[in-house]
Amino acid sequence: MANFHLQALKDAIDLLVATGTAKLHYMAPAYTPDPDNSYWADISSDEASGAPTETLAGFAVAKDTANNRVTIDFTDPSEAGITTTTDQFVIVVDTGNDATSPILYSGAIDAELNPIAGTISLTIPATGIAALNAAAT
Amino acid sequence: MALAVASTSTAVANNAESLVITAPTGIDTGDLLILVLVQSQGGDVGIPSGFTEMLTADDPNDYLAMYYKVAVLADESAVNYTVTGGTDTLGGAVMLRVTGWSSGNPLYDSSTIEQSAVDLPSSVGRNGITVDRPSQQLLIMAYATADNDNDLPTGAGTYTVTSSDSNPTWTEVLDSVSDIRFAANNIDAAFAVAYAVSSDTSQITDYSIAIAGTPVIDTIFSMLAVIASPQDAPGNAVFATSTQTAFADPTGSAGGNGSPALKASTQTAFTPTGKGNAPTQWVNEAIENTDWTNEESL
Repeated sequence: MANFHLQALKDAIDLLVATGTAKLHYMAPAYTPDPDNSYWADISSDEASGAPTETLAGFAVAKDTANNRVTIDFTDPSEAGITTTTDQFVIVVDTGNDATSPILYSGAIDAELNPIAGTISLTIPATGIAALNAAAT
Repeated sequence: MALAVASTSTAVANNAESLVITAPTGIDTGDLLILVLVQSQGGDVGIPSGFTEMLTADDPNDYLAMYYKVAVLADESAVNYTVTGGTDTLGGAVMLRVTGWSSGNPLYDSSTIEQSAVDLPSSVGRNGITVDRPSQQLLIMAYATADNDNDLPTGAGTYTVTSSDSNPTWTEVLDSVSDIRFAANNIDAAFAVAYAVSSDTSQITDYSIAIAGTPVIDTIFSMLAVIASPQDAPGNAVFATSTQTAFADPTGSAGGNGSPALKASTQTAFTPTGKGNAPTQWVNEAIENTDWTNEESL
């Protein structure tokens, strides 16, 4: 049995996010997430054309002791007047320099979104967007 | 909000250097203004302020072209719009005031074609196209002839888009057959524009305009534009949990008594070089031995 411990996981993410501003970028459907990509500059060419960059309000890292995990959550993003096509997004800690802005997370949307001069929005699950489990397998 | 054509206006001219088109009635800030223009300058003309070209059937000459503008406050009081060009090069214009748009270029998809030596009566347009359309849209179809023998059709008839859905109901805004002449280029022109609002989503494979008459027209330009209705797109982000991996437990032992093996070191002796000088041999001098006799005590 091996474990990461929740407080350290939480602190690690908090410290990372404190180095910049957590932002969400919508990605084109052709983008294939690759955890080996490190910084926003590595994947910015795959951003969905016409999509907004959302500064994430309410970004929070919390210990979920009942499930032995650390969860990441933020306020549902929404932006009007958008024409784009996307089915996934990434969260980047924007340091002000694309080459040093680490990619924290890449994730899927349940369907391809095709707003036409309309509002693009995401509903984040009640659990948050993602969790890091403490227990190793 | 679906798009709707709220009002229209038209203008045609013979041998004109400027073309004045009345502003469609009731313009509000945010309305979408679409201008369809036929001209023979052979390049850009002076379109009204704020309009942007979004489709042309004859790049770069822009003989038949379409422009758009999202109305600003000044448009609410506009009386007319003026297109300026070279001598005798401006022919006709149609303006649509469309409600329900928000911002940016509204063109979703399109098709155009330039056809030569069209023997009327005939349908002009394009087959084998793949024009997509969103769930709500405004379709605009237009054609313009160019003939230097003064040949003209007698009018446009049926407007048709072919798809797995039925052809929508078209509203013709202008069908001009004898009002346009470009003396600068010795061209007579006919010009027509129609629109349809549709909620069909099947891909358009053909579009056509039936044109009546008997002459052979030198060139006919036509276009189909799909103007998209604004559409919101809410999505649900997918929750994800990480799966962590522990590498194999490190090996170790506890409670065992070990017997360290004797290790004998192997030493290396470096041989120093030496230097010896014979020192002077000193011989002690012989000294007399003195014997001391204690005095007698009293």
